[in-house]
Amino acid sequence: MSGEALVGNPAGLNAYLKTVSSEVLQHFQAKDLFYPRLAEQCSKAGDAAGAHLTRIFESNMRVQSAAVQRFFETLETAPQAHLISSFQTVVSVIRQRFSTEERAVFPLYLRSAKTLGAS
Amino acid sequence: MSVAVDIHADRYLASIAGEPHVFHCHHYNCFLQKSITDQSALLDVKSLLTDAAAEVVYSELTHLNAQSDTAQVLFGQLGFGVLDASALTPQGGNATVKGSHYALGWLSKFGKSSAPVCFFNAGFIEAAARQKFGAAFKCVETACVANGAAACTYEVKPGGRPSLPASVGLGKLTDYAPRPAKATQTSVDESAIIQACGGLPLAGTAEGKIDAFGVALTRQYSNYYNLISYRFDQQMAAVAGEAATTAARMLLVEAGQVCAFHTFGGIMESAEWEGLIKPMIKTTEDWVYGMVSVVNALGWGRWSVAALEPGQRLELVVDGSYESNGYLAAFGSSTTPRCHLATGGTSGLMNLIYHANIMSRPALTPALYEKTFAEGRFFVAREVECRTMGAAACRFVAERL
Repeated sequence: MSGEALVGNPAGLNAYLKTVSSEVLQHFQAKDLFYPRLAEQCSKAGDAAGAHLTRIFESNMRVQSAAVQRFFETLETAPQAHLISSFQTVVSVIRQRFSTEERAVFPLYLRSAKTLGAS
Repeated sequence: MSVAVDIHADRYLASIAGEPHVFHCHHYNCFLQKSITDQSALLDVKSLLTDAAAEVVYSELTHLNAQSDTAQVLFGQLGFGVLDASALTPQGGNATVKGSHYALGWLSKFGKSSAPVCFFNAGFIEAAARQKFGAAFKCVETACVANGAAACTYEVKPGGRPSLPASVGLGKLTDYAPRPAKATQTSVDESAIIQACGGLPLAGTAEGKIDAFGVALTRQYSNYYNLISYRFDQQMAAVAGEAATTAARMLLVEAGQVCAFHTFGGIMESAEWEGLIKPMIKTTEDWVYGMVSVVNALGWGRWSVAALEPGQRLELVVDGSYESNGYLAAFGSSTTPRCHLATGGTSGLMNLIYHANIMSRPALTPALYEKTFAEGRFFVAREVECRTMGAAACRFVAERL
């Protein structure tokens, strides 16, 4: 995330975040739609465990998505002094989320897609 | 008659006959259990919850060289209700529990259950029978107040596991480094709070209840929490791989956060807080120190504030956390952090003070919990160093998202 190069420059970071805001928010909105669809796909593939686990992830990720959305929506009004620390926390949470999705969630998708493709 | 509790003041731990105990309330006990029982489609959750109880209780009763009514006295003293196991014989029989902590806690949190919920009690009774008669037994709850019955009833039969794994007791202990400078930069007198908490009547009443700090407390077995949490993680991984173990850890941290919200929140709204701690508080930050001081009276290890940026960031160092003590002794080292309760506790503490405004004494309802994470900028926490990964102490950071 190139915004990390701007952590010493709150005004520059703020301006940068506004340019990527729409793309980031679209990504998270798409992810919010992905989870219920994944649960449905797991169910169709007969993967009850996968569907069950996806619902656990979905509820956790939805809270994160909403928080990230609030961060971007309040760029205009949030105190500049807190922007850097909030940004760093948001980056840390997004990184952890992507790591979790790559390790734990997307394999559920691949597994159920393979089953459905084979049937 | 009561069973002696050994206070390890230097380590901020407490034990009975070598078995560590910690205070936790029904919110954590029931939420943690529900996090596990909700996975019953994947796991044998009844065995997971009952077996762990049997192991730790059996170890303690054996070390106590328990006499005929020791188990019943202990059960009530620890806040689990009133146990009557007097009808048990070498052939088994029935036992009852009046005022079961788990059944009443479940009812108050989640309403009527579709099945019995007192798995801990069943394990306790199994252990008592094994210790008393020197033979293997298994125990099942056949009627439960949480399920609509008039009393919690347990059926004990000969059989089950021939022997039980030995408990790790106090676990892998360590020497504590000097506390961080920030830990004492407060007007809150931690030693006075710990001393005052030690003088509170925190043993079960004749009804087997510990009603203190506005919550229903238990002096639960640390290794019970550790065994059910880490076996839950292990078994989830075994049945459904990386996705399941990741989900398990999310649930365990969430349980810690729920614990903090209700237990810490209940404590900070209690008469005891008002009388003991609030008079020492001069700043909002002192609320953090006050709660950390109370935690240090609960047997959870030594919590210290290492850094506190008002309203923004908290860094806690925990020496000898009961989670790491138990994990290291029972499961060895880890490649990931293991102090899930303390992680959730760290974020929960900051959310209560700087986000949910506990100072205004809000009603600690599930709706407020939901709202805390649905509005504004809440705190998230992570364990950045853990003894199970080789660190000297466990370190937690909570930051605003």
